[in-house]
Amino acid sequence: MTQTPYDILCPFHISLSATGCIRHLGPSMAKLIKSENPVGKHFFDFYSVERPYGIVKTEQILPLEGKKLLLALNFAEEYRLKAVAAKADEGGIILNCSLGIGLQSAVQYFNLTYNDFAPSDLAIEMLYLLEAKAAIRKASRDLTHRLQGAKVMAEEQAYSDALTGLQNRRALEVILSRLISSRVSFSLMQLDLDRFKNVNDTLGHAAGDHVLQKAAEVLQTVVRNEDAVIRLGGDEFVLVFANLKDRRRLSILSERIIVEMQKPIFFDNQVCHISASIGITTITADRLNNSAENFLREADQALYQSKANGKSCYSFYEPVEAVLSELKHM
Amino acid sequence: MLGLINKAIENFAIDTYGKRFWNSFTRRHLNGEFTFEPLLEYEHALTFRLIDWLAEARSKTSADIMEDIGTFLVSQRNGEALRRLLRFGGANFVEFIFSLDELNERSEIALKDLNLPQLSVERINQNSVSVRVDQSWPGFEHVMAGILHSLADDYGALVFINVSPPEGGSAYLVLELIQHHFTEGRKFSLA
Repeated sequence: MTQTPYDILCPFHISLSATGCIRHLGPSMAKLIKSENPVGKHFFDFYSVERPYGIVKTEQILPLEGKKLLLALNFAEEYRLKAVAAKADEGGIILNCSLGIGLQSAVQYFNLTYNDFAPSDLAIEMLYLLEAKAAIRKASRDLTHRLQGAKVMAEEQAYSDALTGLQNRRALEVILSRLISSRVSFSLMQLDLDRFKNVNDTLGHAAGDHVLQKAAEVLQTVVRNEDAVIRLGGDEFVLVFANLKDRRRLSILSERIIVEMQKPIFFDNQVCHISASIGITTITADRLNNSAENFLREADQALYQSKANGKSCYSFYEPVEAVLSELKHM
Repeated sequence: MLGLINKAIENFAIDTYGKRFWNSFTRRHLNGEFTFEPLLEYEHALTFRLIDWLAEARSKTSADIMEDIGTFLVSQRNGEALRRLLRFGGANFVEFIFSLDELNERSEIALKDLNLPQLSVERINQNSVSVRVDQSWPGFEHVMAGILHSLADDYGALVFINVSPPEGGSAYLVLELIQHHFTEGRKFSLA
């Protein structure tokens, strides 16, 4: 094919005869058609007119001179060409096309290069912008992820105890109010370490911190996954057992905790001996109208009972109504 | 200054001198471990202090550090995005060089707040051009020298680049093109 001025100015053009046969294709358009010898074949062999509807004959194209046309490639249907038609010599038609909004994937699919676009075409600038936009979107998405991560971490820190990694008093409030409002029965265990003050006073705070960490580990290994272990502060811990009100099981758990706590803890060639005192209250569905503070007070009262009984033991809080009804039967 | 620039300096320092170097660097100069956010705005002067501190820490001149940063920006694995964006400037190295006239506008339509220095390209003779770099970012001509060296390799062109010191508010890069097509260069597909 000899080069025409149109090949330079509009490399994506199609030149048709009056009968709709291809007279010439711009060099870049020829790349899209991938046909050995398209000249002489019919326009509709390679293209369909998608918009406007119902254009199936060449005569229908000329009346649309200057209007926007949308063509599809018959051999690569997913690619659309934006086109405009104009009258040419000898009753022919010339159509200039661009790859429109599908530019980026078409460039990839047809292996188009710099030289396939006229220097006046903004296609390269559009490709540049699409890539710049993708890079910036990635940067902004990365920033969002980092902020999200920082938020999650801040929330975790707000609800956890820095020394032991257990949950803290703030977390306990949330857990209790959630249980109460969802009407789930549960048991609350308050636990103080025995002889902890002694460790702190004789072996120092580092030893004390180590003991607290070991105690936290014990508590976490003894409970179920769904139970919550909270460090209130100092050597005071609270355990929350949702859906558990069976005294026998709570007793077994308490015994196990006390046995584990009494195992010697080594720190810096020194041995620390501690134990635990436990107070338990069980909140059955009928008692859920009381407040969280009330339940904590009950557990604390039971704990006081254990300490009065000589420590290293557990006690249950007895609700007043239960005590009263027992008295009645006596 | 947009954090993107400081982040690039941070990436350069970590990639070239290691994470430990960067951590002790930021502990010394930025009050603790620190990482820049590419999309946040930082004090303009901080960027240039960063470069001077890096130069001091590595016993190099600031100009050398900036040229190394320029090279790093387009030649490393994580410089691929920028390399591609620059290559949209022209089909060959000569076209690319003349596209530098528009670098400021091209970066602005991509990222409004970047405010790159204005460059202007003039032909000196058949094989040489000069690139004037305004001094809104003092020393930016050295970064450009690093970028242009790498991009010349990328296009497969052989070029000599000479940086002349700033004078009357502008610095000049003089590029002497020895061969347009010295090697095959690196492949560049548009999409």
